[in-house]
Amino acid sequence: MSVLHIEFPDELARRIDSRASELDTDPERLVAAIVREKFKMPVRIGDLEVFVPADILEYELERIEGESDEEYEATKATFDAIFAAALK
Amino acid sequence: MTLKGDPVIDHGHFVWTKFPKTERPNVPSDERHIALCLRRFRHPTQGHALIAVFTTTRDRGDRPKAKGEIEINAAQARELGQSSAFHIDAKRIAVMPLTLDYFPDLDEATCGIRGRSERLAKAALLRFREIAAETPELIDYLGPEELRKGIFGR
Repeated sequence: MSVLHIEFPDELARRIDSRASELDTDPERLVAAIVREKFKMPVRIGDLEVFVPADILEYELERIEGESDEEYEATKATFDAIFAAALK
Repeated sequence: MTLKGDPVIDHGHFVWTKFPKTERPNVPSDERHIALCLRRFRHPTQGHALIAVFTTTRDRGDRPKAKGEIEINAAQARELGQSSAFHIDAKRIAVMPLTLDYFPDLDEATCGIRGRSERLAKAALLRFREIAAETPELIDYLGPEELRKGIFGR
């Protein structure tokens, strides 16, 4: 397998860092997941094949009418935790 | 067919689906099952995806109640628009695109909706959250691979 070094614009790098932090994973792993998704090819880190989280694919958890920010974030965190566990 | 705009089916709805089976998680089942919709995800160009848990009217008999099961007796079921007692299995969770393949009555006036309970949707999500934290190996993640791995990571 080949190794590439990629430079990202600051804005994108910040977004990736922020999302990786939310998912409690490495930015490199998240980038690998995105590459895998966009190119539809397996990307592996060690023995793990990685996948991209839904919101990077632009799927967004819809807010329920009347739902508080706290409730919404708790539900989002539930799905984030499920995803993050699969990355480990 | 994929519906555009705001769909009718939403969290808390009991709805007819082709809920995927564990042995073939990537494709719609060949049987109809009522599922309880927990939440919706929206994509700017590809429509909506619904996260739902499995329900069944099959009597558990003498089997002990399993983790993640929420039992609804006949009287409660009638209040929810169902014809008989059933249980919700929060361990069987699917993400399904809002299409006729997965929601076979989507083109009918009711869209296949058979009642609603936001309270039960919240309860099922809570059970799912607990099991995911304590015994994640018990959970069946179902639905088309790309969506499933995008939302659940597996």
